[in-house]
Amino acid sequence: MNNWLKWLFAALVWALIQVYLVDQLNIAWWIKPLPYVYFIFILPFDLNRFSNLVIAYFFGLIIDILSGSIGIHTASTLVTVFIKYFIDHRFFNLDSIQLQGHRTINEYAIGRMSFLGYAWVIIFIHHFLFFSLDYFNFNQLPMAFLLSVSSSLVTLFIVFWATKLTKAP
Amino acid sequence: MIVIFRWIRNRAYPLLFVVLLLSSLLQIVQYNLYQRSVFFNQTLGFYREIDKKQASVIEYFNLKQQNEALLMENQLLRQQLTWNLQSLGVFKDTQYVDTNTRSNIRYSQIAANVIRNTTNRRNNFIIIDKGKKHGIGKNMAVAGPHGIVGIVFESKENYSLVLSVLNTKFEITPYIREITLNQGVISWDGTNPRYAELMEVNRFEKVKKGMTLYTSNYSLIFPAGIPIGTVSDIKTSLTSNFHEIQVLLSTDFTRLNQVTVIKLNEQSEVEEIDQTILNNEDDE
Repeated sequence: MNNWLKWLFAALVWALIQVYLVDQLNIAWWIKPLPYVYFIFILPFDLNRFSNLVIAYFFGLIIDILSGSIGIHTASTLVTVFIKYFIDHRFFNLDSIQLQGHRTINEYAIGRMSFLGYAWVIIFIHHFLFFSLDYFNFNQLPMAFLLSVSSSLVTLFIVFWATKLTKAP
Repeated sequence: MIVIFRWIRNRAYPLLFVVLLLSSLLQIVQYNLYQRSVFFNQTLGFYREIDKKQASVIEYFNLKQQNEALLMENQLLRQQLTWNLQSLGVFKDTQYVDTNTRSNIRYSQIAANVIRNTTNRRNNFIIIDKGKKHGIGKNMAVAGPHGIVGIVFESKENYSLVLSVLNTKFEITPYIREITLNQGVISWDGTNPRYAELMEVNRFEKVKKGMTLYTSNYSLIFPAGIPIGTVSDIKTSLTSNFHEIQVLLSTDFTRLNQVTVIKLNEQSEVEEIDQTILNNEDDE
């Protein structure tokens, strides 16, 4: 129960940060970071996979409602969580990570460089889904790709420092 | 039956994923302008207070730029005054006739504040704090201190949704004063919010860098002579009949606070005539 409250709080905070701070910053037109992806990194890997999907769905829905887009954040977050679950169970020895006392895959569990690589892959998948759904046009897929490369690097930076600041999820 | 239930139980996880994914994709596929306006109506009450507060904070930080923008607008209006006095042609009919009756005034203007604006999406919308109560209705022109901003798409009692220039659905034909040309379509390509594209201008037209584009007097929505932008780049190839022109928009959408809604007073009449033309075309 405590965990669920914590996640609800984190979800609301990240949604507000995304919509009322990051979306308003206008760093450059080709940098549109989506740091709310950090939320899916704090969901523990031993969480029931059904809850995983449902949480992702409603988290996306909150951001969609706040930012006035319909379904785009929801779809991309949902697919990302689905893929993340697969990656976690396919490429990591979760038992050994759990024995070390970690509940999520983080910098201290798998090392800095591999965490950065792993996080970037997931963030890139999310961003690419988001931008291709936003543009919704095959001719503009290269543009969506470039946008997701530049934006995902900035998001990765924010996510990395967020994990540092909160002393690892 | 047992077989079916077992099948569902064994595949509950992918099934749940597919169901949730389909529900969100359905929302996206139905994401057209109509849905957007329904969404606007439903969620408006939810976030308008927080939006208003945020807008007032941002407004404070932009005061200097707003001042400059107003100065620029004043300068432009003075220039237009001289055009009106000199011109014999296109800008004449925007001139206000000074009589005691209001019926001769073609356009009335309503000032409004922007309370929500995006530039980082493919299809951007603006929400302003004036609505039906203040006389704003569908298909009215919206202009900022520097130039055009968009078209009113939907209006509620106190708020209106404006279709920004930075939207796939927005297209406008410009008028280039230097070469008296009414041709082409300006649209936004979804990349840099400062630039738009001007397509379908014949390559034998002598368009040059730095020429200013204004709204033309053929538009049923925009009054003539509102600046759109300046030509910043021209590409002409021998294989194409048209120029590829890049336009620097005169409105900086990332810094948009005050706008003016321009209401054509005889809009219903114009729409009626337009409808008659369309009906006649259908008959043929």
